[in-house]
Amino acid sequence: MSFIEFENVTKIYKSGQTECVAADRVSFEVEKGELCVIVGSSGAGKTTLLNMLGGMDSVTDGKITVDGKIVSDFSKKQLTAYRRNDVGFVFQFYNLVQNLTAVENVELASQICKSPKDAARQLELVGLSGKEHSFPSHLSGGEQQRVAIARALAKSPKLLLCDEPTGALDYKTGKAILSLLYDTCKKEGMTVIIITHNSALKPMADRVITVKSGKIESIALNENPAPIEKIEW
Amino acid sequence: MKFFRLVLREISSSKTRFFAILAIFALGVGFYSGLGCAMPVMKKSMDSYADRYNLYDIRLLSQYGFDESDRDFIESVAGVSGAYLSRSVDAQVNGAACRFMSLTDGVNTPRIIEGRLPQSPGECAVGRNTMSGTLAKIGGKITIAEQNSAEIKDSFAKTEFTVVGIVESPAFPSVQRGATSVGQGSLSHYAYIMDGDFTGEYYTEAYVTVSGAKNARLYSDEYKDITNGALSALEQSGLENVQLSRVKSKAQSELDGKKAEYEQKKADAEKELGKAKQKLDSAKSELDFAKGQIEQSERRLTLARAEYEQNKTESEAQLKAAQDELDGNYAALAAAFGNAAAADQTENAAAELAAARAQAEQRLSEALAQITQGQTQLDTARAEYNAGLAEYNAGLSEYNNQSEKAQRELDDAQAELERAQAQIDELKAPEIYLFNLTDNYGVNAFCQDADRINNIAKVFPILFFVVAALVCLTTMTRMIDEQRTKIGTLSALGYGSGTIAAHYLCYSSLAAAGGIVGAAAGCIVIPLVIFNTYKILYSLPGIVFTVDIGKTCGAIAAALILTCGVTLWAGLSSLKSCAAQLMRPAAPKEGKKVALEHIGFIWKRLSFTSKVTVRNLFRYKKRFLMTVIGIAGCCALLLTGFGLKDSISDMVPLQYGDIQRFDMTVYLTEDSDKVRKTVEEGADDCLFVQNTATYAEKGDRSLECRVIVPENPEKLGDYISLKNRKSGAAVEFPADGSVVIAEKLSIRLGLDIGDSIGIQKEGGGSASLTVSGITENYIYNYIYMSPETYESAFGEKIRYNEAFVKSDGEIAAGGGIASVMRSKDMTESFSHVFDSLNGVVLLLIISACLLNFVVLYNLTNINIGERVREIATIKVLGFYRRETDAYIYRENLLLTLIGTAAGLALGIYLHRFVISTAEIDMIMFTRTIKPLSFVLSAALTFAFSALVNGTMHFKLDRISMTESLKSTE
Repeated sequence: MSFIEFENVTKIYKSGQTECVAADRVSFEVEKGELCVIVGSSGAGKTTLLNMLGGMDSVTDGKITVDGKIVSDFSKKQLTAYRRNDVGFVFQFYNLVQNLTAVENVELASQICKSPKDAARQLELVGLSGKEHSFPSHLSGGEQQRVAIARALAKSPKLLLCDEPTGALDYKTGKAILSLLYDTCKKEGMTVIIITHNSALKPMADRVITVKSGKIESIALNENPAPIEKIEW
Repeated sequence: MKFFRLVLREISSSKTRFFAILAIFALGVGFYSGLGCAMPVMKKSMDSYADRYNLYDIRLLSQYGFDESDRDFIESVAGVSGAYLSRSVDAQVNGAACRFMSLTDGVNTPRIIEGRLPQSPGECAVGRNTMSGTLAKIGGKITIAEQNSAEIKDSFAKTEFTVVGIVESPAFPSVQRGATSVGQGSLSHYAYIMDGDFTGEYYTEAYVTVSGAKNARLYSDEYKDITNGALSALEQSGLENVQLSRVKSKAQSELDGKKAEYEQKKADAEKELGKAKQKLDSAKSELDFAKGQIEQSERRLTLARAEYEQNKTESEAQLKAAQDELDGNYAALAAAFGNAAAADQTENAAAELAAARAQAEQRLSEALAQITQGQTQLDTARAEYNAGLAEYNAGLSEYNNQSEKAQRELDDAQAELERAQAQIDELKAPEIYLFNLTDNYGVNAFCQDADRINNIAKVFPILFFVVAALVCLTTMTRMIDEQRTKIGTLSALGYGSGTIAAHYLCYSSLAAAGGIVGAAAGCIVIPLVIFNTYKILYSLPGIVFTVDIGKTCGAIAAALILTCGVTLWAGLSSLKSCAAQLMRPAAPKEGKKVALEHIGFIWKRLSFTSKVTVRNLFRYKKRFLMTVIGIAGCCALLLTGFGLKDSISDMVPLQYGDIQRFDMTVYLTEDSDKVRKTVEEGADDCLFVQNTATYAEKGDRSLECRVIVPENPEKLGDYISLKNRKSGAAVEFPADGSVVIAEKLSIRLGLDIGDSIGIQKEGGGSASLTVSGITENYIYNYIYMSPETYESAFGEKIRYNEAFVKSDGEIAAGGGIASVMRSKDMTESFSHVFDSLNGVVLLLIISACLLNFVVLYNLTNINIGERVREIATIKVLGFYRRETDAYIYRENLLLTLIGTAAGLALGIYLHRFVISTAEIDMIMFTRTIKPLSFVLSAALTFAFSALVNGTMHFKLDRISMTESLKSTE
């Protein structure tokens, strides 16, 4: 049994009379410790997949299993506990709390979970030693995304979900962030899922899932992922 | 049209926000204009009452009274449209002072509540008193009490009147009827009786209506100008001289009559005396004549007696001689002729002699009988004479007495006449007293109460408005922040800034239209509540609504300007920016360290969540301030409301329990041993005092008050506790020449210890004394002084007219005891009055609650709106629902806490201000707010906070993580 399993997952958004199928019988698997990239163009439904996987959104039909637990059957409260303890999120716009310093943003996550890691140490690990007490607005985009990653990792989640983590960053900084995610995956054995519209990222992944119009177009496994430094886009 | 549709869509998409602004302006404007028109409504209601029932404008009193000629004269004075004469006498009835008045056609028309007006002698209509009860029911009788002075009793043709009607007079609009010279000094009732039931010769007062005054609004400057004009015209009219000459000529003609009468009497007396004298004189001359005759008879009798004696002697001598001759002849004859011849011869002679002797003897005895008869006659005549003389002498002395007496009487009468003449010559022009309506106790008190409401109206709505403005500012700022992108898009599409601004102005103007709704509701509801509250103290037939157009429109305009101004101000920076800039997300507001973080030892001890809360609180300083001010304002309003209730309700038990520590007050009509004994027998302990109605003065300010002079100053402390309100320290009973005054007097007159206070007695007499202490007191204003101080200050003897009694038993009225007032009953009747004020308090509390809710709801709404992303983030991070709520609520709680604390502090001052403006002269509200009120105000504030938080929970729950995280906006 795989670490993550999607079985015929369907998501339909209803607004008034119109229905929008964001995910149409999606099935795939991701193994533990893999770095998986889900690519697709804008509106293909990749974020929907991530939201369902992350417990932020419910499924209309189908089954999602994470580490043997059927997430798609969770109650609201169980979903919250799942998000709290098992999942780490990294967003395109970092979603840091502006009024908290870097270390406090990390603490915001770590203070609620079961086995948190030291916040300052996490910031050190993402290369932000010395900036612990800076407010987000005093940090560059890359630095903010590092804080967001540190915050996600401080909870020692089973799963790290990244939604366009480099979308708001310049090329160089984006690369550095991807490198950080890659390292985290490899060194810590963390399962990392990155959502992106940028196909250039495919070579770095262990598994590449291509999404189009709410359906899986292809699933490809990379035997030898290329180091990020070598990837150009 | 499209543009307007956009506005409507805007409204429908932000209903809560729109209605929050709408509600807050409805509240603000409604409260402002409602309270603002309370005063005009009250005054207008009184004005229409006065107009409908022909209330007088000027009242005249004169020492000489008035008659029809005076009325004609008054009516001829410029500005006077009518003069009406009336009689009134104050008398005690059933232990209370009542003013009896004659009905006047055309002025002060009584409003008939029940029954009818008196139509025949012995009937009366009594004034209704909603507070202390009406004197008697229809069909009942009222009696002029025995204890009234003879002068008062003589003023009435009857002593008993049957009640045929219950009325309300526009001249007595208040349940407090002002001062009087009878009884305890304050008038409790009034009654109308027929003019003929008064015995007085003159009318006691004249009521004047002023031309043009009816059209002018009562209490207005116009009205004052008009009536003051007529008042000074009357003052200068020389009415007093007209009255003087009238009185003088009348008195003179009366005196002249008396003088003529005197002269007549004098002449009569003299004539009478003359006659008596004459009689006496003739009697005298008769007596004298009788005396002469008696003397003459006496003389004649003496003469007769002498003649008789002489005759007797002579005849005896003759007879002897004849005998002798006879004897000689016999002897000669005998010698000559023998005895026989001789004897013969002499026998004839002897016979002749014997005959002569018998003859002589006969004659003599006849004469003697005559003499004796004369003597008897004379004796009778003398006795008669003597009796006559005695009679005469008696008559003479009687005459002398009578004449002397008559003379004395006449002299007295003469002196009397001269004195009367002197009095007439000395007559001075009378003192004429002119009063306008502001001197009418009730009419004036009503005005003061209306003004007091207006004072409150000046403060509260401003607080409301400030809060409304703040809330509006926050809301509109937030709205424009939210719509940054939309503004940018519109701008990029080529809409001018003006059009875009107009869009938002239109939105806020529509919201401000809530003010119109509020104004409409406020202008009806608030004056109605206040008017009905005051109806317990004032008898007015009905409310007459009026709207202060200027004020109301001003308030609406202010609301409009405020919202639009705020909108423009909030939107200006956005409109200035170029479209491209606007379409990019706004730079997030920088995080900042707060001051508390620099205080390491506190900051380190705070839990992480507390740190976050503190940081967040101070991050949005503007919102923080708004919320704190909003909550503080509401809490202050609540505290003021509850505090007012405390102040009102505490006052009575404090006055009649804590300060006045006796069970009843016994009002005495006389200070006699008998009465004292009655009181002392019924009492466990008692203290006799003199209670005098006076006015306390300082400068041009004056206040009604009562002077209490205890018989035993050292005992006063057992009955009335003199103490400082704040410290509770006892206040010494004043030494000679000084007084202790009630606190209210010191506040209103600005008196401090050591200052001098003027005391003016009702009906003359004034004194200036030093204030030696200020004592806690709530109901009525009292001045305490020793008997010595009173007697030397006013130069009159004390008459104890009240007794403070400690007793659980009863003391019956009657026989020198006018009435008995139990402190318990006093407490009840006062509580009843003040309970009515609770309506106003409730109004305050409800408004404060509404405001509180709207403010909190709106601000929390904004708070959440501003932080949707943050909330979504923490939800994603796995915060449970409860934790997410707590994350926001903690801040609200703290804001509420700070706001409440500030509000409670602010409330103390607001309460103090409201009290000092709202209380009436005879009453001092307590200044302390009960702890319970603090608790209640805080609890209500928190309850609303909780309620708002409760409604917010659903809103928080609805925040979608996926939607919120997609983009920056």
